[in-house]
Amino acid sequence: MDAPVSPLQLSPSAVTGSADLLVFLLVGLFAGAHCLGMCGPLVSVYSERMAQHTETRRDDTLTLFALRQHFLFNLGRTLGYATVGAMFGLLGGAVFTSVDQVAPLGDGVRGVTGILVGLFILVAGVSYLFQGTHDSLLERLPGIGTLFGRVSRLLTERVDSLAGSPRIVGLGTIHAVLPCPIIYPAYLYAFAVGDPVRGSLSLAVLGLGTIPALLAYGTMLGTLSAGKRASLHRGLGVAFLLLGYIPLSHGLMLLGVHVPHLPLPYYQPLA
Amino acid sequence: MTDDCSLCGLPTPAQPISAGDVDGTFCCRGCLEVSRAVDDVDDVAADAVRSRARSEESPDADDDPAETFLAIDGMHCATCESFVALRGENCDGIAAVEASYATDTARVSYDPETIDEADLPDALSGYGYRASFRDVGEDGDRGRDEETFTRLLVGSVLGALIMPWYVFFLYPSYVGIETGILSADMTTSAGLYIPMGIVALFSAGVVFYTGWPILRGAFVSLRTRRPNMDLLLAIAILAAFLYSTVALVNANTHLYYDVSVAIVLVVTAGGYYEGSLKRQATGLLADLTEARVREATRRRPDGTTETVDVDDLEPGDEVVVRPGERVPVDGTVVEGVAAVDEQVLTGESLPRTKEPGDDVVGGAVVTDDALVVEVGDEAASTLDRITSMLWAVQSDRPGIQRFADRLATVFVPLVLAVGVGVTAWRLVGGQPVSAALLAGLTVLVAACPCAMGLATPLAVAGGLRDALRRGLVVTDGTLFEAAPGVETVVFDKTGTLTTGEMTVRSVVGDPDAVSLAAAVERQSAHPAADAIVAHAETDTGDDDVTTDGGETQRAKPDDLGSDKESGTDPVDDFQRHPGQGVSGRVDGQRVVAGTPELVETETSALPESLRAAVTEAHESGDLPVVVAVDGDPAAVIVVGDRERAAWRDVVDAFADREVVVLTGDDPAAAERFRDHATVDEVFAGVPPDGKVATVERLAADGQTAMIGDGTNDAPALAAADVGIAVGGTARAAEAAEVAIVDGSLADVPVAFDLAVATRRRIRENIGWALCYNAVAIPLAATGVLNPLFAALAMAGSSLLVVTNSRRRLV
Repeated sequence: MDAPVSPLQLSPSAVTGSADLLVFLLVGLFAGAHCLGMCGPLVSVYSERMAQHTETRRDDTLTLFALRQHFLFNLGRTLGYATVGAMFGLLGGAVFTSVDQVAPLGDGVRGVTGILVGLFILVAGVSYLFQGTHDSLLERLPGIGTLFGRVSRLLTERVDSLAGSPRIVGLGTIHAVLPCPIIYPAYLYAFAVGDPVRGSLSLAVLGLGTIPALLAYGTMLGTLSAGKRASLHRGLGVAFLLLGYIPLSHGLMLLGVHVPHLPLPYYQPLA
Repeated sequence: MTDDCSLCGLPTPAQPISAGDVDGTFCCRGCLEVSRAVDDVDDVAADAVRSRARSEESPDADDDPAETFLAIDGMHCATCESFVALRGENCDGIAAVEASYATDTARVSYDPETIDEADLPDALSGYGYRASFRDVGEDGDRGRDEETFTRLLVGSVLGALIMPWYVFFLYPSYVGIETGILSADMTTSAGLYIPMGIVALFSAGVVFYTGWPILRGAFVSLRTRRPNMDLLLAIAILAAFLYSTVALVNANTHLYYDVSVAIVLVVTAGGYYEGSLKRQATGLLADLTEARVREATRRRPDGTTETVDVDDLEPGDEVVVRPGERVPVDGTVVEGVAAVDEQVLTGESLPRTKEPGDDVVGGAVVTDDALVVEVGDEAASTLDRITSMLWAVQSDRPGIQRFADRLATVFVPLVLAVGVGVTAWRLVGGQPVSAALLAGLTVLVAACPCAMGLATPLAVAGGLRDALRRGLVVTDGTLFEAAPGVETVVFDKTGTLTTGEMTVRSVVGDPDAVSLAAAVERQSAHPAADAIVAHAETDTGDDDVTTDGGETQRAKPDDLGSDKESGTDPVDDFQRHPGQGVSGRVDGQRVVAGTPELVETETSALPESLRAAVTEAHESGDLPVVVAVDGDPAAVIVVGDRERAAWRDVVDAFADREVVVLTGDDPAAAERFRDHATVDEVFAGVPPDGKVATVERLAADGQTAMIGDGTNDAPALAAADVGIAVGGTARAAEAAEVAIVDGSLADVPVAFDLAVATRRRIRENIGWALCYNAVAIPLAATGVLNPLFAALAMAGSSLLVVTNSRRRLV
């Protein structure tokens, strides 16, 4: 008697059709370094508060309780991203549908939006690739930095009540609205795609990709050395280049300019 | 009514020391200064530390619990601490147990009415943990190694009998090859069950005998609900064994006995290797001086003396302490005037002159003359009190959670979730229950390679090895995981930043007077006398001194009068002025050497230049020895504690962390360190209790390292997250995580570099070990894994870990 036959059958089309999801996963994995830089301090605060709820004699001990809390927090984050991604997708779909109905320039509008979004993400990717730090152009835009500071201050005030209970899921969902130069381009992508299902799926996969890094940081790793973080940022830059290329190439295609693009059936259920 | 010092808990004097800007009353200025500086931190944290650090000193409980310290053998991680505490507290009469795996100690608070002290070890022993009483001056013999070796030997023999079946028959069969070296007709019952049954039996032997410590560790982990590495290993071992047995019964040839045997043997071997290196390291500490006194010379009422055990001394007994001996217990001087060196106990660099009526501490060394000491009220020794304090701190400080155990805390739920998921998926897909369960079990088999169990022991062994090569004895492997995060570095002064030996620092006045003084001082055993003699002998520009071509020998305290080197001027009319100095006639000239008061009494008033030198010496905490020749004060020899040459470089190596100098010595003597730019704080005049409290308070804010040498530093060394003993006494080495055997201060930064490198190595190894999981778990989840793939992946990852660990660390 041999080993049982594998029940998982992967068809070729399913793989190519999910190419953009794979890119999002890649982005999430590499973005871990960035997340540590920006959200790391917040996660440390949560860890500290969690530790106060346990009885261990040393407060740098990882317990099952802390693990559960970190898991719930990351779950909340992913749910938050997916929800906001769905919203943006819905918004995009509505805008494009209304544009279609008002003017016969539907394809044109979609094309231009795609190009703009794509360029924006490409530029962000280039800055990550060549700078190797999380000091991206987005963050240098006036207002974003202070907004982040204000929201994170709001979070740390609420943390005490949330960090020790399952309500930490709520804390995670708030992270979905934090000004984040990784997530915001992804929201724009969801807008450009114009489909809530695709949008939420893309953002969910992105969130899942960031979980290993943040979970590892919150539970096990002390710090990531500056060198490793820099190389991870460069990887993030490459992933962003891939990500930005998708809407750019599709936008150009809609405007009649054909450039090599990933074989994605441009999924438009609302059309 | 005496108050307690707000910092260290000792009783405050009749006039408690306090200041306007600091809350509380203190026993000494040292404690006051520490409180003032450290109180700047968050008030909440400070209060918490105060109450936590001295919770044992305020017995507010209705019943007064008695306390004792036990040595516990067999704890190897934080989970074990919880388990021992849990078992102990379940016993009637035991109120609380605090255990520390890093120091193999436990403190037990119990009710003497309900349970006898003698029964405590039995209450805590069991499940492989052995408890016994701690004794002052005795280090328990950790004889667990023989047992481990036996287990390993038996397991290896059984394993050697099992593996040929795998290598020559089973592995090839999974890929369809028949080697012909070993074969059995698996289609018949006999052909399958006889050879495989024997394999199963031997595997059971390996798993349940050699692997017993691992299984026990997993049980402990489950009981305390804290996953650790043992649990992860046991899951894989038992899953492999269970799967294989079920498969064998169902006549399936996918047998993972090799996985269970390999994990047990390789992990046990790795642990044994690490253990043997650790034993080698601690063996080097056996020669360190033990400052304990076991016998005393008691003077009977009729004047004769007898030698008795220190434990037989009663309050009021009179004890004779000769030069070079240690005072056995705390007491008061009734006869004799001598200089007493209390450095090892208080950190003071200059010996104090004790006269009848002065107190002396047990353990101090009497240098130049004999004393008769009346035993104090409690016949206790300050030395023993420090040892008790050390044990209290050691059992209070739990071991850190290892990185591998942290990983296990995350990994165990993850692997269990994947296993359950796979089983559920298959059940939903319509497969039979047994097939689904076996699929889930396969995932558990892939959960933990032997590489994961090897990762930490091999990295730590590498760290121990490289440390030993550099003369650093690491007694506690958790050093490597604790040291990199250190934020505050505390240095003891006397004996650590300084040599602890008195040397001549400068000479003011007529340089020829030095050799004359040396000739007279040769007859004295006072540490200052030794310093002057040594200085004169190395001073090559002086005709009166003859070097004998070899090493200059310091006159030993009990070598009175026998150390006359040829060519030195003989001294006539030698006279000792107790507590003040010496005088004699050299070459017809009358030489007086001693305190300024002695010289002024014997000869004449000091001239202005010499008086200024005396004042300056006092201000920098040194001892001025005034020399008068033929009635005229001629020179001032300034004797003091010399700094070690490397101290500036070593302190600067920690420039990016906070540097604190903590000493029991005079504030004046610590001045020169305050001026250095890298030193952030200097606390002087701090007694041993104060040192502990200071380090505990600093440790509450951030990881703290302490570097010291004397027995007075021992409790503080234990209280720090990282303790480094620079040469020093046996107590200090016992309390510290690493001991620099040759006493070289310059090796301190090396210890930190090694720790950083070793921690990185631990993580690298675990990273490589996880490569196995990255390959095996997906294969297992999709049902493609077979014992050959598992073995190859395991061998590959183990090879990676072993090769990685062989590289040099620093």
